[in-house]
Amino acid sequence: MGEKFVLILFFGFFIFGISFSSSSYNGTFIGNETTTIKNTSAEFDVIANISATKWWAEVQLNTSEINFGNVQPKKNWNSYRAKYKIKARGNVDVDIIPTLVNSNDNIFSNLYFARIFESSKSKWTKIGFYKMKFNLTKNEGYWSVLTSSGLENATNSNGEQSILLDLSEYEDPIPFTIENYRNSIKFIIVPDWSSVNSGSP
Amino acid sequence: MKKLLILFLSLLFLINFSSSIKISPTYQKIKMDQYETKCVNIWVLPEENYSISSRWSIDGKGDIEKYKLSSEKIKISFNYTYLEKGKYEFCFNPKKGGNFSGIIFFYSDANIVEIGSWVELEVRKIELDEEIIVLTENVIKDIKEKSLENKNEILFFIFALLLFSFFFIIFYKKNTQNKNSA
Repeated sequence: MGEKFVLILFFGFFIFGISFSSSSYNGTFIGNETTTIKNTSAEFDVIANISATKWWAEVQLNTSEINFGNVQPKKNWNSYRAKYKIKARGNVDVDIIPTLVNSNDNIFSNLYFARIFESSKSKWTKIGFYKMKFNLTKNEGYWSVLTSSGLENATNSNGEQSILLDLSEYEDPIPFTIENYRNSIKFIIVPDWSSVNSGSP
Repeated sequence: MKKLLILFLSLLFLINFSSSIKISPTYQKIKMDQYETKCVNIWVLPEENYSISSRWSIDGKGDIEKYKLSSEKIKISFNYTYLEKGKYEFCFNPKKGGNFSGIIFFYSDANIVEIGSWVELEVRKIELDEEIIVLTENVIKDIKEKSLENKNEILFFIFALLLFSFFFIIFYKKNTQNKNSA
């Protein structure tokens, strides 16, 4: 009990320390009704958000690796599924296209993508044909995620996307077990042509 | 206690896994003359060792599938220099007139992300007599640069010859002195 209390107290102090160190304190407090000068040097920070004068886009990927575990070809088509997170912001729409780094891969070429987990196979799209469209101009400057209902502010959703490895129709012989078989998914980010051609930002 | 510690460490682990890439501008239109060199800047962050490539099209208009030509194929020579803080300078020199659309890709091996920026070149084809003048100017410029290189080579040769002569004289003098003393 005592040990837990000390740990929670320590954790609390740690979080408090982080939040306090990130805010700069320069000695002057100017309130609405009272002004208190804490030390002799009177200075204060000036802060502003400056809008970009150029078209820009930023994409954040929150997954570095997806491990499907032990995969048995010919099992149920939706047996091996996982999730990854992706979000974007900017003042231009972007298309994000996942592709395989090693494209001559007859195992991972059976990867399928969807915004959420769908039970029907028809709602999944095979790698090479899947494209995520982020209409960032609708939520300019803020982090946005793709959900089943379209683009949403990242504060409302964590932007989880679904990925599935379907080897249910895989027919090539696999003579021996392959351990740690791997490939990489490269996300190609292309700004949408029509949104960059509609005048200046 | 151990569980809490593991939870805390795994939280840190998850935070470290997020990777972000940003680019600006995502589109630039450059109006220029044939054989003219114009440069533009592209910012890509975070600062990393990106592999840079380009794909071109004559009538692509943003359809990435149509961007299959190399810059050599459409006779556009381009080069880039990394300046600072994620800022790159790209210089284009088209050898023929027309409208060309290209996408410059920055590939980060660490993040497995490739991000692109559109570049549209509107190149005015110069007239034949104008072309002759420009080409002559370019040839003169090349000759000047080459003659400067040759000049440097000659100077280096003279310097090397003088140095060799200097050591030879010292060696010769010492040799004769030794012979005289013997």
